[in-house]
Amino acid sequence: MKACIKFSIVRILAVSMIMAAGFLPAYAADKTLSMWTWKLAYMPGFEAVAEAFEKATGVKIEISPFYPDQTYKQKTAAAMATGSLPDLIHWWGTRDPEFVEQVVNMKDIMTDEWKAQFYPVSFPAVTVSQGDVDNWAAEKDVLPYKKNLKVGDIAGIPLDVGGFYIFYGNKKLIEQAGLDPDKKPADWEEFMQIIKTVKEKTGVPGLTYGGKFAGLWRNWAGVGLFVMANGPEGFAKILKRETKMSDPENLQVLKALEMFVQNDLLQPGILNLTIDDADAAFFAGKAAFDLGGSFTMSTLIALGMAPEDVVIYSLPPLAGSKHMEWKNNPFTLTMMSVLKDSPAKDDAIAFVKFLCSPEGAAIFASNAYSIPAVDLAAAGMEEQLPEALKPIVASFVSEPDYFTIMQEMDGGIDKNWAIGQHEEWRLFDSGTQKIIAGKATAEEVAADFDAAMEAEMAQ
Amino acid sequence: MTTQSSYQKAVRRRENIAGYLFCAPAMFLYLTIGLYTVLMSIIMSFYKWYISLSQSTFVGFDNYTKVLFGKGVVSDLFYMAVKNNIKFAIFSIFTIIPLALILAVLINSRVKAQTILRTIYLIPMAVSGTAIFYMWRGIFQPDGVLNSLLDVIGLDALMVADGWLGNVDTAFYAIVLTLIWGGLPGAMILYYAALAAVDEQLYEAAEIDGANNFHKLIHITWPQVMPITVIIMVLNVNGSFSMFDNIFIMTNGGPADATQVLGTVIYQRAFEQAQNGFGEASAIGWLGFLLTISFSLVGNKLLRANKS
Repeated sequence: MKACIKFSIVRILAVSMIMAAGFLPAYAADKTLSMWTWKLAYMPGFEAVAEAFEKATGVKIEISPFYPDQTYKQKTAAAMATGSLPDLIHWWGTRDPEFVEQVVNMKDIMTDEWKAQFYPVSFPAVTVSQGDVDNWAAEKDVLPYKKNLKVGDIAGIPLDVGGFYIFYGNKKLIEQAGLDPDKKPADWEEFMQIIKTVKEKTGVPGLTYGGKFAGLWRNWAGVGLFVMANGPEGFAKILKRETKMSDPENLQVLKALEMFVQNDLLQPGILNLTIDDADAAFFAGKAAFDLGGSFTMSTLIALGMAPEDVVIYSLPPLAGSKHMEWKNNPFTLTMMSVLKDSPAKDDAIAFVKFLCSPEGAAIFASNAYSIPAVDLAAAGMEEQLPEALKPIVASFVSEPDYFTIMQEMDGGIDKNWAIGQHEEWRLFDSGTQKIIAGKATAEEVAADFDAAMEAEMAQ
Repeated sequence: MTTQSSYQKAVRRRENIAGYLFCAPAMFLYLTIGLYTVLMSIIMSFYKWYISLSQSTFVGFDNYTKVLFGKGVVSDLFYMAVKNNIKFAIFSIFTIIPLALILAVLINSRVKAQTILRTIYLIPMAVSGTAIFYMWRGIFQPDGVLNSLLDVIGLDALMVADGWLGNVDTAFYAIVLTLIWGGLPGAMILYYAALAAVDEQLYEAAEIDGANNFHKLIHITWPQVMPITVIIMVLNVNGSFSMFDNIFIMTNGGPADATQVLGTVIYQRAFEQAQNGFGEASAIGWLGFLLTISFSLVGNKLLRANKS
């Protein structure tokens, strides 16, 4: 009996040890930093910079992409709870990521000299402002960590800048339709006419975008139309629930989307397309225009599209808008954060400093086809920027963007915070899908939005 | 004799101890990972959750009352999802059960190519779910296999220009089609096993009385396999309420929330929308669990009633 039990215990211990080995962290003998990202299109850029960094310092960077966005957010949420975030975190540009208390406050390592190398518009997106602090203090159900954030705190170093609100056009199809691809539409109605003409003459559907994601139209076009139509102060009113969606000045934005539907200008099946599906469809000539951002160019080039076959139109304003031109104010798209408790924190900070230096940024830009937050022109390195990106950079203006103005004005409000907090915007998003599906009119969606807004305010 | 009995008892005791020791690692894993996660989920549902318990705010039943009785977006979404889950359950039960029974009767009878047919019917069980959902997505595209097939056989009036998953009116039924395709093999196997237990003499007696195949199916086969039918119903209801990966891959709950189910709502609340996501999502999850348990209890009562 004793021999039988002893043998069983030995077997169980052996199995347990084998299983436990899988749970033990791997300690690398050499210096290897871990980095997570979700942007597959940026991997060539990250890998090129990591290679240069390793040559210079001997420190290796192991980059793991987790795709798509939701998977990455889920992964980091779990890692935050278990204390297993990587040494380097690539994240969307924001002042208050949920892991902010677990990463280095970059305010402590930022120098004036280094900051001067960036586009000035890079930092507002990642730096806590007085307005933020005041909003969080006044917020009823604010998460505790936000109350600990102070003015000037920086969650991550800006990596790349750009924006949404860009329509990419297939130059060949536009020319085939007898139009001049370099003549930019003055307003939304003229843009509609261009798309109609291209469809009539070529038979190719007008517009594509990742319609499977309900919020995409709002994020990449709708919000821009709101701001141009009503100005930052007007858009702030709807965010603060002081006006209704059914008011004419707001309703016109939904009606702008409805125009696509009424004229049958959307790619069939658009509501089942992911962002990548839409970019692939545009590349394959299944749609003449693709709604995207400055980052879309890197995807199109990765797919094999020649930059000279693409025209870029900034978001055209609705007729009669307060602002008749979308100033391409870049904002920080993504940032790099460093884990506070990383055993190789200094090496991680050194990597971020290199990645976000003119030298590193040039390597990143030429491999990832994304516009770095570091101003290469100011560093005398503009020739290192890929040709395809130069027109976008040339269109940048340096004054504060509409959303920064909206945030910093008296009684200002943060767009992302308001839309995230106010549930009626969820109905706006699903409502845009209903409009596209022909199941609701702009007026009906606006009415649902207003009813939800009132119900939420009453709760 | 006494000595033999003592020896047998000692052997049995040794075997029991060895058995418990072998089960111990699995039990340990279940308790630490399985039970812990379940308990944490219950606790989360009473909090406005942020990273850990110490940093979260206790809100009592607020998350539950907001979902059940609130007049806002979350509550509307919850009830929409429950309605869709129930619709998926009803559609799959009323199609899978009769089809599975007929297929089981067919492969149970001495038809030609019985073995090949059995293999073909079981293929959906052998294929990875995730891969198959992406395949279905491709089939339902505007220029996918289904539309192309309809065009070729002259049924182009049935083609869906936006693709079956991109159209608000057809997305639901496209998903139902995939549920039937995936659920048939399991139900068919259960019926096949049940049919093997049906006494052949009942059929012989019925034939003598002049019953045809249809009469035998309705009056002999169907009552005899009723217990299995209840089991299949309960399994389908449970399956319908725990749907997530197929919806997430094929439609993400769209278009325009047409295919939202509890699984996708939980995922979106936790990871895509609210910052109190985990607390609300956990509350929705547990409400869904209570619904599923209720249906299972009803199913068990039906089963017991049928046995008696």
